[in-house]
Parts: sequence; C-alpha cells; structure tokens
Amino acid sequence: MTATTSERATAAAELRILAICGWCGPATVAVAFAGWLVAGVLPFPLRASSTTAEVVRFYAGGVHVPLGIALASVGVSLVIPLVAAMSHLVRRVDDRPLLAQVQLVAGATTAALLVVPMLVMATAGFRPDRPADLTVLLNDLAWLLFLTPVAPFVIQNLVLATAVLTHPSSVFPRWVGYLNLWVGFTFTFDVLAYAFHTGPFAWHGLLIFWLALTSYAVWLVVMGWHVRRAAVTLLHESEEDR
Amino acid sequence: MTTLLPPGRPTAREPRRTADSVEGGMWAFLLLDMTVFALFFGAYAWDLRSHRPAFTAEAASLSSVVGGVNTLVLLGSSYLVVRAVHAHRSGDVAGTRRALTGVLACAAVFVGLKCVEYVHAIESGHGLTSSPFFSYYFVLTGLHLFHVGIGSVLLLTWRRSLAHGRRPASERWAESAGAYWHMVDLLWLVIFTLLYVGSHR
Repeated sequence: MTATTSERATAAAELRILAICGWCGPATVAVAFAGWLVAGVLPFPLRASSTTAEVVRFYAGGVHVPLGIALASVGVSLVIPLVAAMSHLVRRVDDRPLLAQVQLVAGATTAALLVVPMLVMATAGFRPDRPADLTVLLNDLAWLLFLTPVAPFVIQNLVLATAVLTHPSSVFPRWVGYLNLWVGFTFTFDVLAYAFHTGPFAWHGLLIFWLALTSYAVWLVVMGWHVRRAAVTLLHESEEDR
Repeated sequence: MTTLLPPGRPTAREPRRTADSVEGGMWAFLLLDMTVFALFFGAYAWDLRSHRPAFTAEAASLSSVVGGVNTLVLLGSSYLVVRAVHAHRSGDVAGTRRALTGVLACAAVFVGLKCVEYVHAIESGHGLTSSPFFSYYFVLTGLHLFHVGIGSVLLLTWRRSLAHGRRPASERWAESAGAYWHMVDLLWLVIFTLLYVGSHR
C-alpha cells in the first residue's frame, strides 16, 4: 500500500523539524559563545584563584553581565532538540530501544546541568552590592556546577559510541562513534577542578575549561551536522519514492 | 620469474590485512587520546622549566626501580598482546587465552606496584595538592592507571568471548583492543621518562 499524500507531507514536515534540530548543534555554540562574550566570561573567565575583589568587580561590571549570561543560558539549552533528534535517529534503525532512551535521559540531564550554573552566575550579577563573600560563593557554585558534573555527558558519549559502533546501519558514520569516545575522555578528569585553585587542572585551566569547551564545541557541530545531513538524505529518499 | 599471487592474498612476510583490521577511526581516536596526554606532558614540561629545583628534589623521592620494573612489565605485556593477536588471527583459541592471561597478570602486577608506590608517597606526606610535582605525579599516573583499567576491561571482554560456546571477538575487536593496550604501554614509557628519569638532576 502506498503512502497517501497527507502521510508523505507529514513525514516531510517531520524531516524538516529534524533538520532544524540538527542546526541547533552549531546554534548552541554560536549563541552560548555570544552570551559569554557579552558577559565578559570569554575570552578570559574568572579564575579559581581570582581574589574576592576581582570576583565582585566582575559581577558589578554592569547589567551586560547577567544579561549576557542569560543569553548563554538560552544558548546551552539549544542542545535539547539536538539530543532528542539523536535519540530519534538511533531508534530509527536500532532495535535496542534502551540505547536511545539512555542517550535521551543522559543528554537531558547534561542540558539541565548546563542551564542551572548559568542561572546561578546570572544571580551572582543580580545584586553585586551584597556581602562580597556571598558573591564569591555564588561564583564558585556556578563554576563548579558548570564544569564538574561530567558523568551524565560521559554516559551520553558512551551510549552514542555504542549505538554507532555496534549497529551496521547506523545513520552516523563510524568515526562519529570514535569521536564520542574521545570527547567523553576529555571530560573525565574535569572533577580535578575541585582540588586545584591554580595551574592547568584548576577550573579555568587549559586541561579543564579550555579542553572541555573545545571538545564540546566540536561535538555539537559534528553531531548537529550529521543530524542535519541525515534529515536531508531521508527527505531526498522520500521525494524519490514518490 | 614473477610469482603471481591472487590479489589480497597474504605473503609470508606481510601481516594479513583484511577488511576486519583496525579501522581509521580507531587510529584517529588513539592519536587524539595521546594528543590529550601530550597536553598534560606539555603542561608538565612548562612547570618543570619554572620550578626545576623543587621538581628535581621531589622526583628523587620516586623509586626508579619500581618505575623501571613496571616499565618492563608493560613492555612484556605488549609483547604478549602481539602474541595474542597473532594466535587469534590463526584461530588458536588456547594460545590466545594463554597470552591474554599473561597480559592481564602483567596489568595486575603493574596496578599492584602502583598501589605500593601511592601508599609510600602518601605515607611520606605527599598528596594530590601537596606540591606541583606531586600534583602532576598523581594526575598523570592516575589518568594512566584509568587507561590501564579500560584496557584491561577490553582484554577481559576479548578473553571472555573465547570461552566455550561463545562467539569469538572479531579480528577488528581483538586488534583494536591490542592497539589500545600498546597505547597504554607507550604512554607509560613517556610518563616514566618524564617523571622518573627526566626530572632527576
């Protein structure tokens, strides 16, 4: 039995939504980076060794600080459609529903753990005339919440790698599976940020903030690109079937 | 006279390369993994340059003998992995299992000696944040030990697949696990050279 015109139109609409979900990957990078640049979190974030005066001065810098961070909170949330789309694409070919489900739950948890620290950071900038120690506390809380709860993301990477590398007709190419293994590895040692105030293992250090930022940005762009490409391929296939 | 061989047929000298060999993605993963370690090594070298006397004094408290024995243990394990891969390719299940048991025993010795070293360092008053040198020591060797753990799980999975009534791991899986183990060995050679030998006076 052939699909009716309305069923084909619904399928095409769904694939266009899938393509938009794919674009959300690079959009996460663009919007979050824009927000952090507006707030002054980038190019050089506050350091774990920053003095109380430096922390208070940063948050008292002006309304652009909380607003920039609020924009970044919107940016990091854009990963949510990408996470859903990846589960959709895994489930499409894979008869192991748990893989898609674990990916979805782990991805959603990661998204929540990226939004909350942004809101704590914005709160720190909301009333910078409060006692200085409290601003330092909020700043520490925001940064440690932002960088150290890595386990959900590592689980997400491992599940995606498993789905890609163990299914012969995965939508994603096999190298994307290996990329997920590597990205997961670059996050595993971020918990060191709890132990160090200076050097490469502190939260602002090369091997914590900068490495994680780089590998997460690469991951978002690559996964987003492949979700979009899958959507376009499926759209072409459905048009040829007509 | 030229000997004509059917295309793709292995010669005695060339190792057999099949579609089932380690794929490019795995090599890229290993290279990127080592690149991350290279960043750690770069950071160490940078700090060594600025705090040379302190690093030298503290590096002297590490036992080069224990580190050296562990180096030999890992080199031996790498040789056994090669034996295991060859045995696996030729379908020698018993030989593969024997070699893998040897590798896992080497891994256990390595972990045991590392624990002895850690206990000794901690009893001497050193810790993760006690000094820049020992921060690097614990982070680098800890991260390496984490890799030894992952490698051991891969080898154990390979070995379990050879049990009676199970489907043996593919050649690709066996070679990938072997390549991962060689990386673990290679990284240790750099860590040993940097921390135990290179930082001495």
